[in-house]
Amino acid sequence: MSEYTGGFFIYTTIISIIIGILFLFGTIFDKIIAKIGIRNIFRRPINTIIVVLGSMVGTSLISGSLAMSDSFNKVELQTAYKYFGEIDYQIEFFDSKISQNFKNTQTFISDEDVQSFYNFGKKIDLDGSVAILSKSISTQTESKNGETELIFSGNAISMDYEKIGNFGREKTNFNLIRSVKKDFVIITEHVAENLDLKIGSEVIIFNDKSEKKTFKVEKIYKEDGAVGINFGQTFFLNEEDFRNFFEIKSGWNSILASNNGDVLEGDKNFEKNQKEISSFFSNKTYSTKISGIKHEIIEFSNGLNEISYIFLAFSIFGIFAGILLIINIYSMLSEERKTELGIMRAIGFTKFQLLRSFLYEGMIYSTLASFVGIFVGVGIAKFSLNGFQNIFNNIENSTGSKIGIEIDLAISFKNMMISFNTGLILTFFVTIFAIWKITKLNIVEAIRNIENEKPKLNYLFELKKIGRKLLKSIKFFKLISAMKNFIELLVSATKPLVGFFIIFLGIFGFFTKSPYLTFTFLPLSATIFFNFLAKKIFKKEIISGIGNGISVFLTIFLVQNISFVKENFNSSDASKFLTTYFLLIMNLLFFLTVFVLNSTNIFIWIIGTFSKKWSKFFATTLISLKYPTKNKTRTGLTFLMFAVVIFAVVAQKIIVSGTVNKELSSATEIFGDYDGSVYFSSPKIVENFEERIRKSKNFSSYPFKKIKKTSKSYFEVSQINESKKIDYFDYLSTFNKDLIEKNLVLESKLDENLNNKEELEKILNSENMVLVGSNYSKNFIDKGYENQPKKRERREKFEEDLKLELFSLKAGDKIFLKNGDKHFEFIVGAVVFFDSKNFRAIENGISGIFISEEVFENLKIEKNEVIYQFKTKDDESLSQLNKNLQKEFNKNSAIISITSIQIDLIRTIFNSILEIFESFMLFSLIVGIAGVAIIAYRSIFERRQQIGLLRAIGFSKNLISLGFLIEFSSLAIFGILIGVISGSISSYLVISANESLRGVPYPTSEIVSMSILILLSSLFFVVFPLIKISKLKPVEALRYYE
Amino acid sequence: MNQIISVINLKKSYFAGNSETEILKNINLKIESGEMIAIMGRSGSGKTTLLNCISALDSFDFGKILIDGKDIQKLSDNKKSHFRAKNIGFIFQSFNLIPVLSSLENVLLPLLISGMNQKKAKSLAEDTLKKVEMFEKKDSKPSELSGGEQQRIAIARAIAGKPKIVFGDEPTGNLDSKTEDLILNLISELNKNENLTFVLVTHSQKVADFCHKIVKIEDGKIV
Repeated sequence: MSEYTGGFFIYTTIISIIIGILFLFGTIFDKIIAKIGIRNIFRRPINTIIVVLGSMVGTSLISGSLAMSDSFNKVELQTAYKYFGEIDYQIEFFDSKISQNFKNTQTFISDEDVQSFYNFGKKIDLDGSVAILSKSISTQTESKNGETELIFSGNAISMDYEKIGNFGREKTNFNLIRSVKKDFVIITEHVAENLDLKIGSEVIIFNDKSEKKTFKVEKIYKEDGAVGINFGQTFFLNEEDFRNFFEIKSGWNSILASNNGDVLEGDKNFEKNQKEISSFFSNKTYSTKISGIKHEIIEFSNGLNEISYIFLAFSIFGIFAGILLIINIYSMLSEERKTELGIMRAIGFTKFQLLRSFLYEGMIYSTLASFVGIFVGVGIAKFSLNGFQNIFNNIENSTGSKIGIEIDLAISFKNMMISFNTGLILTFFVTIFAIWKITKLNIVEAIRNIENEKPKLNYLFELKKIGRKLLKSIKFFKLISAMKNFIELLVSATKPLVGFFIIFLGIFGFFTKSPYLTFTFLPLSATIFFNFLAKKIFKKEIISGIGNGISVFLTIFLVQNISFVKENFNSSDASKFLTTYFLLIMNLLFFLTVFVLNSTNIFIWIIGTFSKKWSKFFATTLISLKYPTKNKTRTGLTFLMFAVVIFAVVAQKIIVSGTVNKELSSATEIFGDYDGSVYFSSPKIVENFEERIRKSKNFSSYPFKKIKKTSKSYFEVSQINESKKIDYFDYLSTFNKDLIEKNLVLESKLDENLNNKEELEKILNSENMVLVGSNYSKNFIDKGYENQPKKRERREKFEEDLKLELFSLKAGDKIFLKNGDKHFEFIVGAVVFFDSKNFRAIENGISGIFISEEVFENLKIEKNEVIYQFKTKDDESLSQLNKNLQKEFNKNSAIISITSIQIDLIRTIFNSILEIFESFMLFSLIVGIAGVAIIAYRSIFERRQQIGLLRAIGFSKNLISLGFLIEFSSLAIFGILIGVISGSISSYLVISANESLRGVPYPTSEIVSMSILILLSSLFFVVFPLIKISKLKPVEALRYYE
Repeated sequence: MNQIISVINLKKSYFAGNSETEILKNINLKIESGEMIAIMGRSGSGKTTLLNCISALDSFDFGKILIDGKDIQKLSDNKKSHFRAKNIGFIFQSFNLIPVLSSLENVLLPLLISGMNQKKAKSLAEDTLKKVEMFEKKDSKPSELSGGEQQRIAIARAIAGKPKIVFGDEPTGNLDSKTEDLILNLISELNKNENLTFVLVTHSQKVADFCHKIVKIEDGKIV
């Protein structure tokens, strides 16, 4: 984030300093005015608190998001340093052009090449390079009672220890391991803890040919910095031992390099050197894979960091609500102080002196709010980070494996200042905007406290006035005032023309098939046209409402039926989709809001019809619904204040939550009726799974009804012939038809007369036929990329670059597999894929090549991975079984997965993330609710005389309170409805555009309960103004005084 | 004619800080049904306070006010509201129409609040608008009407529910002389034709001249 925030930090700081200097000058040279402003702060503590609340929203949401970003960054830095220290690059070597880090596929480069790279490194200013040998191993230890049960997999590593001394700026890390003696091993604390090893203990290590050798533990060290490589699962061996044990006479299979500078600290040479290294190896016979490992960790962790960007994006809603709140409260303050402002003007204060007094007051609010906002923001960040920490803890508890991520709250001084500055600047300018109307105060009317009548514009007179102002516009404020008047005049004079122009653009866009012009202006044209009819011809507001309704339908119609708009909406191009989605949201929110505003009379008519017998209620409702239409802009903005926040929650619930739940509910489609699985990275770890369970003390009885073993081996795959260089690495796997039979489809079969099941049986019973995953099928790829041209383009380029010919297999084609020295030739029996409308992940296709278990065994090749799928007995508790399996296989690096627990875990994780988002947005909503409370207070003040009148003509206190309650409830209810409707419509339009998302259920109960909660909390804040009303005496209200 | 308002020994004081100002001093007043009374006096003489007390808008410290034989001081706040809705109409100097409602809706309001059903209330409000010659403007908002027109609507609102008394606080104070005449003629006609009791607080001698009786107040006393 730092590269983006650098400039922003400087600019905002400069503006903040200017604001600070202005304030300082004010207090020195503008003493009286500043004094008035400052004293006003203490007049009404409740107002002060609310202004500070509104003003702090921006700062707190921004500081919250930035604090989260800083905290995630801290985690990244810690992780990267912990496991890589000063290592910047890892260079691996392959004899294929495709760099796949599979076992048994590494190539060894010569000592000469390594030496020549060392020399080259000095030229490009590398801080050191070291060649390493690395092999995956299995280990066995002897426990106290003499049993040798525990098997662990990790990596054996040896290094060109002579060169370690030159590596990196701090050599201490590597010095720890350079002394490793013959027949000894140096291990990490992580390994020691897992295998119960101490200094002097013996450990048996198996090489890739299952030969074993016993080593003694020489040293145990903390996996910190560069020696934490391979995530701490490391056994450092003496070089001679390593070469003898793995039969590697010479050469190295990897080089670690350190840059002079650190990528974590923004090392600019990182990319340049990566290119240099790449060009150094470009003309070698082998291919290289250069990983900027720390850089990759940061890139990966940026996923976490992106979450803070999403939070920042959501902050916009909160900031918007905060701005509305500030505008409302200043409007209320200037209204409240109208008489005294009039008097001040009468005794000689200028407009701009009054403006300045408000501005000084506002500056103090902004500064105070920015300070408080940072603390609140840090609190929000802490709360959200706790949520994320809980997610990691949940995963740890559920899977039994340690993630080891500890998120500590962190916020840099720079980000703190950015939040402070942004809050200050934002509220400063919003304050100027909000108080500007003071300059238009009519002195006589202000003293009499009469509402300002807006005079009709006389263009000539206004132009003369602007001209005079411009001539005198040496003063800054007057220049702004003249410009503002000019813009107002321009807008007013050109309003009808603008209307025609918008309609023209809408129609023009439609006929020229311009998606954005059409989508922006065509629905708007309907509203403008009907507004014209409503005002000039029919003189009925409801006609405008009909126009707004038509605009909503037009918006939906365009997205669903008009091809050039639809294409954009369904596009895989993120920018096209997001722009169309954004316009869709804006259209829906805007048109629904104005529809509600223009349809007040319909609502009144409906209420009138249903409340024929309750005249008092009808009279009360009539006023309650009519008052908000007095200031349509304010009411519309209040609706939007609620709507935008609720929109975001609804969209999130339907699209994200609904989709995840739908996919998870269809788990049986991919897991068949199996309850779970146990995965081992090597078949040697547990030779006989069933027997081990039966004998184990961890299980009171044998828990399984059925067990199915699936094995995998890695192969080099080629389509042309066995002598050709390999095309691809993939795994050959035994096929468990129980798992996917339900949704299994065989594309291109050898014998079209056979049905899927028969064909499958035939292939699996044959010794020379295989099933290939859908990733090998051109048809499948074409179908998958149908609407994703950019993805397709990338894939085609990938195939072309590598000259691959494997991605268009069909039944009858031959493929060649190579495993070590063994070669096999198979015929493709069919291409296999899933057909599920529920499970989106299936779009990614199936990779791998499949044969029956019997054929697999007959190949007599080494198996790389083994998975045991199991179905438990009916009375078995899955959570207990999970614990028992964890206990049994924890030290064997087994991955235990119980479907229902995994699904629950994924659901919990998603729900936790959603809850964090929702609480973040609820903070914005609190501001929105406070905004409604402000409007309530303000309305009561503004309408004091009318309340008196209503009391005079017979309205009781209760009816007046009921009226206000109806008015403020309707503000909240309509706001919520607009949010729910626009959120639901747009979400289902997104869903209907994506076939695999169809059928996502509507989260009715969640949305209803959330809406009720929001409504009740809004009304809670209205209670206080209502109490104020009940205390208002009619005669005092009529008298109009404060 | 029967007595519609009886004010007996009415006293009312305001407190400003520690000092007490007696604004109404032992007022006794009787008003007959169908009368048109002007209450006159200087600023601060207590005439508006007297009107507020009689119309059940304000409370008082001592004495009794009977309206149509009912002691209004004994009514609860809610009952006072109901009583006003049924029996009293108001006309104010600054018209005090609800700006967001149309003329018809403004007139409808007190009828609905007194519990009349919507259909009947609407027809009565329309009839009343016809009476004050404002039916043509029934859909106009107050901001679209002149001062005289607004006051006609205010009068229509005051009389639509056929109240026993209509109180007016400077009903022509915001109007020009020509419009003042028109409004006073209208009030006078309503008083004669509908037998409505009008109690008008005013500075204007012209208003007083239209009334049957003038009550002068000085320093909180009737003189």
